[in-house]
Amino acid sequence: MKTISSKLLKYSHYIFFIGLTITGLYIYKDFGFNVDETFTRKSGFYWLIYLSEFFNLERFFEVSSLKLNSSDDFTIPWSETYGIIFDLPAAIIEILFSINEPIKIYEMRHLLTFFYFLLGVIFLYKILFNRFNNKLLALFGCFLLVITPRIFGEIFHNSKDITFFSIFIITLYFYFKTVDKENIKNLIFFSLFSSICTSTRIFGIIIPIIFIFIYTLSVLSQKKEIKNLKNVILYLFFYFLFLYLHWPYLWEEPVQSFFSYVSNLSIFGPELVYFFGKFYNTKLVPFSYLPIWIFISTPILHLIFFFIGFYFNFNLFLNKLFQTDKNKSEYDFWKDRNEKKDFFIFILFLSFFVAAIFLSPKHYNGWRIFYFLNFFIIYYAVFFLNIFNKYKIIRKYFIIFIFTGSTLILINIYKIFLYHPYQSYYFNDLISKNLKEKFEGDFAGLSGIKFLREITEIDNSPKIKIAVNSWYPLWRMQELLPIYKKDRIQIIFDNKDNAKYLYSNRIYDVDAKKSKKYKLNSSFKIYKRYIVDDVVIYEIYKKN
Amino acid sequence: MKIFIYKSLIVFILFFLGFHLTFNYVQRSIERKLYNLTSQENIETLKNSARNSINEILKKDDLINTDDEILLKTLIEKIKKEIYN
Repeated sequence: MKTISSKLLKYSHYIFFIGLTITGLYIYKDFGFNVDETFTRKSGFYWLIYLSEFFNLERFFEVSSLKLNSSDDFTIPWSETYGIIFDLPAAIIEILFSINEPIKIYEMRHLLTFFYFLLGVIFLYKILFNRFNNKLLALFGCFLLVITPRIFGEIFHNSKDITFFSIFIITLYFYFKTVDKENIKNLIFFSLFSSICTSTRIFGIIIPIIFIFIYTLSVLSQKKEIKNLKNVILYLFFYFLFLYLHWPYLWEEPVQSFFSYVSNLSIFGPELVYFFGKFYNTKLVPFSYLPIWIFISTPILHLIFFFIGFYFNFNLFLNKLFQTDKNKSEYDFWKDRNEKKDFFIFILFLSFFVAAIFLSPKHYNGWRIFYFLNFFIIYYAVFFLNIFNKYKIIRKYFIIFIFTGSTLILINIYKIFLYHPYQSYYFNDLISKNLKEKFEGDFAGLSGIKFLREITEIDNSPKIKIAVNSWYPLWRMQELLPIYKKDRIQIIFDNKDNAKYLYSNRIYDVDAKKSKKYKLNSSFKIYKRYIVDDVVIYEIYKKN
Repeated sequence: MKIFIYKSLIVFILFFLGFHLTFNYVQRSIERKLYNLTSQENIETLKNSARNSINEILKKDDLINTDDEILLKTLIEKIKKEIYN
């Protein structure tokens, strides 16, 4: 028996990752299609054309030009600033494997997004194992991340935020490796992934800043650290070199292009966001926007573990701040490598959190842009569990702890099943039914394809006239249907009153409470509402 | 020197937070009010409200009460007198 359990423990990480892969492969077709996917696909072809022209690859140039011209975008103004780390490989795969059927193209992209996520989880395991040196804790951290519904719901269709999330974790892993051994190999990997992080999302730029900041603090603590300045210079040199090399956007005018990108960040995303029952300009949301979203859409167990873990960590560094200069043989904020890693994570978290609240040019789509903050939630949750395990401080409450934890995990898993495939719109039990109505639901437009499939089943007419009563490009989903269903659907663009059905995912580009744009003619009556856990995903109106 | 740098950092952080939680908070609230006031939807709402008010007034038999009628009549006569004399 002991042999079996020790073998299970030995191979537990393989079991976990194989299980996750099988689950992903089994369910990846269940998810809807994100409104931004056509845009990111277009971005991939744009850069493939650019690169194939540069390297004289005629076949790629011709096929990608054709594909780019047939791509339509809707929500985001066109921009060439998007990094290439996901979109370019996706475009190459599409051409290499001659994937031409629209639904197959998006399924391939969903699978690729999942593999990026899988890579991120593998590195999360490595990072947690590196820090806490406990296989079970590291695996439990990965498990907590996977069962975070808002993350689980995104791992197939949100190529942008999930890719950034994974690259972010890999970057932090190489920082940890650099702390363990400050050699050229680790520094180069750290700089490479820091640069990819920056090109994927501009927040990535905070990582090199914090790296320099931590180095400055170490010099302030111990003068001998000055000898490591060459490593910082080396890191910065490779960081800028890799940033330039892998981001074609910078090739022609690097400095000017970079600053133009940073100064034009606010062009992305919608103008309005529905938050707490009111419509806000996305540039003028209250400072409470992000904390409230995190609080209402993160599982309660994660929140409890995170707050306790963060409290312990905060307390530790606050005490160290008040005791600087007392122990001259140690660094001011850390006494060993693990504390240095924790300090880096602590400063990084505070910087991201404060910057996200006060300096972010826009807030929209819930908090999907900041989903990478889930890394910190998991890190501090595991930090707490490590203290719990190491110091046995709460051992007398062990049974209560295990019972409560298991119950909350089971509830969480149940919610993942309940919401499937709309886990992206999960709310925890801290928020009432009425309050859920006051926040955005299907901002990614995942329900469009389900609605079209459903309506073609319900209505047998040869032509089904459909109009959209929200800010959503339903016509994009039409091409994903089989041809016999696609031809039966007629999307009405000009006059909604001519439609038989109206579809709405309740996402609006105007203040729907004041504007007449989405006011319905009295002949339309509610036909169906698709509600999951009191969250309205979409609604259908039918003409009487 | 080191302690001075740490203290300066803390002061900077507190100043940054203080600035955003006071000045920037007020500025953002004012900007939000201005945005709401001048938004297309608000203008539309105001126009509709004005239309409704005019319609309500037009439904009434007497627009002005007797006292106001006398007052206005006297005022107009006085103005006329001053202009033509």
